[in-house]
Amino acid sequence: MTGTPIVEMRDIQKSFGAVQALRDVNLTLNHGEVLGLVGDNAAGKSTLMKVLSGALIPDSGGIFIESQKVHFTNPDDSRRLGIEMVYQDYALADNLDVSANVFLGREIVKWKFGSIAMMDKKSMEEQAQSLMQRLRIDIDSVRLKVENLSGGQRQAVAIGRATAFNAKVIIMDEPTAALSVAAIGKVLDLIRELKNLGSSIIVISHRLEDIYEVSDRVIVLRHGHKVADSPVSGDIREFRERIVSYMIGATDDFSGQINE
Amino acid sequence: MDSTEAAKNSPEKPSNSWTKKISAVLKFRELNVAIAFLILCLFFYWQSPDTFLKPANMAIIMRFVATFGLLAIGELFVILTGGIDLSVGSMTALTGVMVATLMVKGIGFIPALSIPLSIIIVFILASLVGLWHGFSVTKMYIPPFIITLGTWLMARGLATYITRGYPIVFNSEFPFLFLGQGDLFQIPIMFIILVVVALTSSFILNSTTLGRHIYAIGGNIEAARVSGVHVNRVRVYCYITSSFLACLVGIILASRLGQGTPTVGTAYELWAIAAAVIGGTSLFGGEGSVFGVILGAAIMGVMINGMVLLNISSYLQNVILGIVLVIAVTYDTLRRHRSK
Repeated sequence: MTGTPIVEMRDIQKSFGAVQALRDVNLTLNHGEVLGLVGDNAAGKSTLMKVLSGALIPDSGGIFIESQKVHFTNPDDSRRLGIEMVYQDYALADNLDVSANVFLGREIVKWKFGSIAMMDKKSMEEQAQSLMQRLRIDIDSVRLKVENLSGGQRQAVAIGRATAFNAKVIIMDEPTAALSVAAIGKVLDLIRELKNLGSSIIVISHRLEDIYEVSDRVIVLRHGHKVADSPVSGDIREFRERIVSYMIGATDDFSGQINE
Repeated sequence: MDSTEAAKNSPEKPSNSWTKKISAVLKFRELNVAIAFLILCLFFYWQSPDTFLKPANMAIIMRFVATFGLLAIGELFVILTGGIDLSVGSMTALTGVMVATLMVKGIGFIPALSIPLSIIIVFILASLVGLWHGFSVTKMYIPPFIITLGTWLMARGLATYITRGYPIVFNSEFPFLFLGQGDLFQIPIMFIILVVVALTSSFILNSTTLGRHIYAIGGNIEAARVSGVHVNRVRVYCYITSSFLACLVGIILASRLGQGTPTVGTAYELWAIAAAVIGGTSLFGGEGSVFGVILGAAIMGVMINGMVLLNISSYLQNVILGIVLVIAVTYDTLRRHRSK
């Protein structure tokens, strides 16, 4: 965790009408780090990540990717720089198979004639298959329709899809919400696997035990302010109590900002 | 060959692969429709063995399948994206009347035009109508049901207005009539057109990115959007395809009937939708195929033809077709519900 951070967001402000969703929020993500992003509902987590993924444009503040200042105006801009977002509930098309979902919008093409481009299905299936193997995602065949997969498998495919195109930064919005306990374990394993493979990851979650399990560091937002930025440490009970007290406003910790 | 290779590459347990293959075949959507079609054919052949397989009778069925198959393929493109096009029946009338007017009389001070030029002009106008539908649905957020219902009324009204309600009749020697009345080796030209359109559409839907994006939009439009699919552009293409094929049918029917008549194609949009649904297309979008849609049209064609051969009252024929439609939809809905 040395050198320049892969992502740096400085003094991000964003308002929706009279509501200040983000007030001078700073965020850094280091290479190969898993960062937990927590906060109560409407704390500004999703807004902050939408700013990073280009879905929202901030009112002020700057985003730096590997020290380069960038301006995102839509999700394609951020995707081009290797930032991928795994959406909470609308990640996949159920009626398509795994391979088609992995390559949706980025199909491998054999030849092109105007807007008609012929797909290379075989290459896509092979690459999707090797992606699933590399990430140890347990799916019988990449030709299975997504509607036949379990909740955990779907989430795994959604995450796998985000990593398929040399993503440097993967943002996951509530990757473990609405999953069974066994499936949660698998998704957390997958996050660790991605970290081992060198990805930098931001995880938004309400489940503090998941954050504790996989994250190196955690940032807490409350009412659009960053109220804590601290390494994940201690035992789970102590960690949970500490984070919850930040979330509900019993304590504020600005040591992270002071250190900067 | 493809599937065996995929099986080799995938980490499937060998003991499972056989049962999986069998269940994959059983899940093959069009299989049930194909079996139903074959049973129907056998039944009518058994009932009237002399007439049913006669080339003349086959030609009647093929013309029916061509008409409704072409309309249903257009409808399929739109339905796959979760939309609907109610204008196609009226559009066949309008385009038929227009192509006849252009060829026979000309418009205003413009004299009668050549056959190819008239056809091209009508195709362009029909595509503009499709563009209008797509634009209204994607940019103005008007429900497809409503915007195409508007065209349903306007196109029929215009067709009647242009002709003052009288058909525009072609000279019986007119070469254009070959399109709808001609045969090639006892196969009607219009059926050959259907085959060409079906192969092209099937290629687009199965093998091109455009086709994949059409299915993706029907499956999950938000997922398609965030994946970088040009959702609106693809939907506009689908509405244009539907209007374009309605125009093709309008031209063919004008040739078939030897006249452009404003009453042609009444309720054809509903027949086309019925063919698509009987062929396994889901009205919720994302499911359906060209093969299934043509089978759906073929089932309706064979049933209507067979019922005529069996001297069933034409009033009762509609009742029976309605029952078949309801059974097809109920069966499909239950099957999908069970598999979830």
